[in-house]
Amino acid sequence: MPKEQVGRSVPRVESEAKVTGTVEYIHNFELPGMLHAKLARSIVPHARITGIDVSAALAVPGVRRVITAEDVATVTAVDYMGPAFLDQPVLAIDKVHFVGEPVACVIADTPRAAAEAAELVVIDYEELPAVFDEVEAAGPDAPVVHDRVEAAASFADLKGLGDVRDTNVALHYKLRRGDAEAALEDAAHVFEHTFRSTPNVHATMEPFVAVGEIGDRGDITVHAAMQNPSIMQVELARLFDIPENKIRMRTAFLGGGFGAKLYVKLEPLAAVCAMLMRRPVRIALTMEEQFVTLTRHGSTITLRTGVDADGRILARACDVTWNTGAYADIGPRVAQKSGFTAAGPYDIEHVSIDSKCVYTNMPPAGAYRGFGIPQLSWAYECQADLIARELGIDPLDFRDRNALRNGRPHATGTTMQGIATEVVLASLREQMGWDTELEDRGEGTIKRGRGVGFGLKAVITPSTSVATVTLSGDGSVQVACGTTDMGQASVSAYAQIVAEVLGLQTEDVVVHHPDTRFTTYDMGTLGSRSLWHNGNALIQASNEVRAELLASASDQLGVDVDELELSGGGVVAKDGTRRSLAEIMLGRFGMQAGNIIGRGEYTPTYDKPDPETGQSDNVAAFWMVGACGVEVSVDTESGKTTIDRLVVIGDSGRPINPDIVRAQFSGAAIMQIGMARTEELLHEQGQLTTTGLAYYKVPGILDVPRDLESVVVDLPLDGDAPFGAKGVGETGSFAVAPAVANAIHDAVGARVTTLPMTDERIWAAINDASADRSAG
Amino acid sequence: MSSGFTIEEPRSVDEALTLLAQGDETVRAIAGGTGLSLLMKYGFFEPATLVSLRHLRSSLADIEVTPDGGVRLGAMATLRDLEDAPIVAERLPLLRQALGRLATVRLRNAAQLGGAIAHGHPQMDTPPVLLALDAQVQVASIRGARTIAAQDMFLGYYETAVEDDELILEVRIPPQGEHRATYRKITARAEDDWPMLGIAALVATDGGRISRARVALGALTDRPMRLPDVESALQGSDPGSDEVEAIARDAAAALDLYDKPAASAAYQRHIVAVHLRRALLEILDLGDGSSKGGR
Ligand SMILES: Cc1cc2nc3c(=O)[nH]c(=O)nc-3n(C[C@H](O)[C@H](O)[C@H](O)COP(=O)(O)OP(=O)(O)OC[C@H]3O[C@@H](n4cnc5c(N)ncnc54)[C@H](O)[C@@H]3O)c2cc1C
Repeated sequence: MPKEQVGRSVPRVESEAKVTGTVEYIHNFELPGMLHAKLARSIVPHARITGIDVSAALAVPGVRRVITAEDVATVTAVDYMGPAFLDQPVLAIDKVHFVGEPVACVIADTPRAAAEAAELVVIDYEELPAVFDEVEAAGPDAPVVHDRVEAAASFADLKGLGDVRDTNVALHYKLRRGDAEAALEDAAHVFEHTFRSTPNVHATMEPFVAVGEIGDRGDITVHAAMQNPSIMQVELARLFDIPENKIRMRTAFLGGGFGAKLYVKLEPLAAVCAMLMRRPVRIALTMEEQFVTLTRHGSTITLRTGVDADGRILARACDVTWNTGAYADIGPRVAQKSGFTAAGPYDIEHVSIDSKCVYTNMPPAGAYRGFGIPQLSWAYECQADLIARELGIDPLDFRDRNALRNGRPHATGTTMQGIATEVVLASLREQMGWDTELEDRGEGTIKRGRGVGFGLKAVITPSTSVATVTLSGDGSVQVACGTTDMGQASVSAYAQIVAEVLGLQTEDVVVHHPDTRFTTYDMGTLGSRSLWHNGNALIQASNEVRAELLASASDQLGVDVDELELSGGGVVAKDGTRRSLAEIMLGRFGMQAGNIIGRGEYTPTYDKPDPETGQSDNVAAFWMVGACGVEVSVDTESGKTTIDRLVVIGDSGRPINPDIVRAQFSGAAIMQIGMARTEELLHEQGQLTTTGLAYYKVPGILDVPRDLESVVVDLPLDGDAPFGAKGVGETGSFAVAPAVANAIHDAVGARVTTLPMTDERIWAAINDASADRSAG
Repeated sequence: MSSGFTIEEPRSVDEALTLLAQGDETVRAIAGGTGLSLLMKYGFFEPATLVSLRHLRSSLADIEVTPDGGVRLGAMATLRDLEDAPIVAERLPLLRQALGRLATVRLRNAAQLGGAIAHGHPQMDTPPVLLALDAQVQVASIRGARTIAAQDMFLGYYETAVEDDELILEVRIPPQGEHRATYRKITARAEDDWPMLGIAALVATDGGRISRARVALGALTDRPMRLPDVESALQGSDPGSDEVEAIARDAAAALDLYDKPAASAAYQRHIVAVHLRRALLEILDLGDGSSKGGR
């Protein structure tokens, strides 16, 4: 019997090419005659542009052209783009809204000449008052970032956004379940805390890059490091008012994405440059420029929580403000789709949520692995510990007591199914040895402690994936779909799925990178959705191939279809007759020729939530539960803190490839150590002061906990789950920062409320706590 | 952003010195290039000509014991060469310890001792170590050769006593005798980072008393500094833990510090007091005052 392809840690098919350096990244892609573009960016946070002088830039040898919004308008049909709001121009039109906003673009023979010239573009400004803080920006007297923006109509889940005028609040999402205010009145204990998180940067190793190219039929090709080629195809078709079949978006393996390479980035500009120059144009950003291109939302979150005498959470009112910067990007979806989980992974009868996506004069914020959950959990999982402490309840018991379980309604009104909350929490208890006291509490100035946290995320719903599976005359199989492999190993997992259905080995199946000339629509590689959505499409497509193959085989062998199976790379009949796929194809086409093409399409069911209350019977295709436990050592004298141990646990359904799932969990958790401990994006009047990896410290190998465990809770799911699996790309990100804060609190009795929790802040918190103790 | 530069690859020191003697400050030596390339990337330095030292390495990268028992370090030895050299391990454990946490192996494979000195960035690990070891830096130009004491080398932000036309050829470390020394590196965020504070402390003892003490701090201000008050308090004495604590506290209190994005002045002061005390306790064999970790 051949081994199963699904559910096994099949070695990743892409690894060898990656470690031997033969993988294609768009960053290394070149075309004959290619020119190079660099951006001149705004140096002020908010201003009217009163003049742009490009003469000095044009005088630089090698410079071909310097373009501004005026030149862009000669080739585009509309001025503004964006997935939620039409607020993003290709190059700034009349106004700039943040430091770093692209204003002019220099196109030259070499990147060096373009960069030199970009610095010589003189932009005159009439400065306007600016606002940087999200709470201030949402207030009544704040400077308004955009005079007016229109809602985009691109996405089913964002239909219903209204145009925005005279306010920075792009979206105010509301959820009402029960009567939170009344229940808070009556609760035995009421807790109110405000938590703030600062923005972070994805810091992908491969910075943004796009190469635009014009074809001989007026068609546009953009080769780009991007996570959603289909959406870019739609955006560009709209921008230029040409049909989608004349827009080709191609990508390759990405050197990291994490949500940064979604929606409008460099692709439109690369296309515009290529159109204006009639030559290929490459635009590649530096690491520093990445920082002004997209960030993760900073946020301010106030939670008011009513708890009864037994430690049951009765009511929670959440006030969440997201700093989406000057372009909303996908911020409105963060505010809405993650906003509705702001009350946490808890079973609470009375919930009210106000989640506001607010414009400021900061660089745009958008998707970032976890899509808002890490910010929300920073609030609700810190508060969980504060409540438990105050009430004298063990923090893990408190979570157990209040956790949302299958069969119970979520705050959105959707009945939970397919979440492994109990098993995840039980596993956390076991892995952390929670029921016995922490053995090593430290000695001397070192105090040790432990803490936990967990979180819940709903997959963005609804969305669509279409996939095709093609069998060739020699029996080999290729897969064309819209998922970008940015390190999550989709090319391996998808090959496993197709191989499983067709009775092949994983290595026999090649999964192509998206190229919209032949790969099909997919909403994007984001939000842990791909395995579920494309997985379904691939199973369907593979089954179509299977059915046709078996029908052919049945004709050729004169055996009933029910008597035939696909196995071991061929068709096997009950009586033991075996034909390879190549033989069946030969029989069908008379020579080594032809194709069998299967097509699959998947869009989950969905009930649109009530716009006033957020209530829906079916708000998400699936939900993910992720937990984190840490042990820390704190030097009370210096504040020096080490995460000695980190346990990350998530529910995966049946893992398609357990090793990949484990790596996704641990990778996501390590990334969050940055938010928790090391990464801080500081600014002065909107000017970032910690751009680049010299100043913005991403965790390195020495920051990875010595003891790192990744635990997969692998209860297979039913329903739509492909082979019982669900998405896992973000699960490990859910609750790292609060677990660390809780562990520090456990160790030294002090609460750190500011991210990142640097040694100095921990030291200051210890000092404050001891001052409080001696005062009180 | 520069529109281009040329690279010269002289075959001899004389040739290199001649190239550097053009009186043009955009002509510069390049060793490992790790420091210079960052300056160029940020547009702080736009060279016309870079004088590569790569062909000089064979003659100027030696590490050897001198007749007086000191150590001679070729300026073109990489930091990794130094770290791996048995002579350094045996005679200059302080240097070896500091190199172990200086950036990454990748960087240490490229960066050279001469570059680590001439770079003059305030947040570096080697300068306080060279101060504590009383290093003497030999430089040469077509005008002649001279020796600069480590003490007098570091003058400020990217500023050293090495003139534009001079090349560092070697570093001499006088005999250290029986001694104990330690280097403490404190980073503000990630473990692997430029130091927020570096403390190099060294004591030689003679019959229970401290015969020579050297204490230098790096990364706090625009240049590394010796702490003469601490050194003289230690010299000739046999301090106990309480005295050490007081010495460290007083030294920290006397520092002129300022707030930085990475750390407030108050925290820097506190951290100097804590780690200076621990460093001294450690080398005086009085326990280090924390139990474990406590870097
Ligand atoms: C990512 C990164 C992390 C770092 N982390 C640390 C750290 O943790 N601790 C630390 O101490 N440092 C750190 N550094 C700084 C590093 O130590 C210096 O960049 C390095 O020592 C410079 O040596 P180099 O050979 O590369 O010099 P180069 O970059 O080639 O040159 C630097 C300067 O020295 C001059 N120069 C070089 N050789 C000579 C010579 N023989 N005579 C005269 N002038 C000369 C050059 O003209 C130039 O001005 C880090 C640097 C980087 C890029």
